[in-house]
Amino acid sequence: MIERAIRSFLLDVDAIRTVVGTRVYAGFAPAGTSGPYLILNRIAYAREYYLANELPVAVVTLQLDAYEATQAKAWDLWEAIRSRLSGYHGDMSYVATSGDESTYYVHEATIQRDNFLFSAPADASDKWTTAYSSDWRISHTQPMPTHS
Amino acid sequence: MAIISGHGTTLAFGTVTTFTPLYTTIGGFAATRESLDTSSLSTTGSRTKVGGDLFDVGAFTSSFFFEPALTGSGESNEIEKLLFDPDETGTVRGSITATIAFNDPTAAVQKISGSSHLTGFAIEDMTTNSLVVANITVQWDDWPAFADAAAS
Repeated sequence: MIERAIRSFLLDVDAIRTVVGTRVYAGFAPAGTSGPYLILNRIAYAREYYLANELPVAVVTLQLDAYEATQAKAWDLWEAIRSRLSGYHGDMSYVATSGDESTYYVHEATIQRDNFLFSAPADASDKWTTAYSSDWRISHTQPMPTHS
Repeated sequence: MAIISGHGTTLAFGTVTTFTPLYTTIGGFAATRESLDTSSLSTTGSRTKVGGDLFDVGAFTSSFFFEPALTGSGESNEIEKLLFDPDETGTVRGSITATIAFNDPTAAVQKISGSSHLTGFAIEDMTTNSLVVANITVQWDDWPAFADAAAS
């Protein structure tokens, strides 16, 4: 799953890891999550075909939201993410719980949109939620279907 | 009789087994001939016409995902092995048999095959956010054979 490789790729950088720790979540943050964190949401997955099979390349569109305490901190976290990922081409890998390592070759990672998000206080809280939200287009290798 | 999808169609050249790119399109082709006007001053009602003597069999272009191995000397998909005579360095290859095989569920193989020569090879623009594609253009030497299931 490319999201796991992206998570590992981002957490390899001190400027990101020291801020969010291991708090990189798929879909939504668990209840009670505090401190800066990242949310990865898969928006779409595009496949390509050639005349014999599905191509061993796919394109994922991901929304990556960086939550922080203030607008300035969210921007700093975003800049670390952008510096790490935007325009990248090369390997990305992660180690599964089984111990197996999966490696993808990323052909390109490009930003499609990015902007601040502000959410009003809710559930008796008096704190606004600040995030920097972005959409990414990431083209990467994938195993070809074997039809077996 | 079966209606078929283009998916599963293959294109092969003679005994060349080292050029097997991932085709996205295997071009169709056309055969056309002139329609000669035989009308004269005595013709009434409408013009009269007769078909020309010869069909002109057109070329076809096939597109594929470009792979760097296509350009590497000694690589398995080296395009030069198709464009040039492998036994005579720098010599343009002469005629070669092209075979388009259809994915027909009612027959093992149905194909169009005939003598041909390559007239073009092109690599499309390389841009961010798109896969690099290339294409080759093939001209039949003359009318290719349409092989039915029994003959294949």
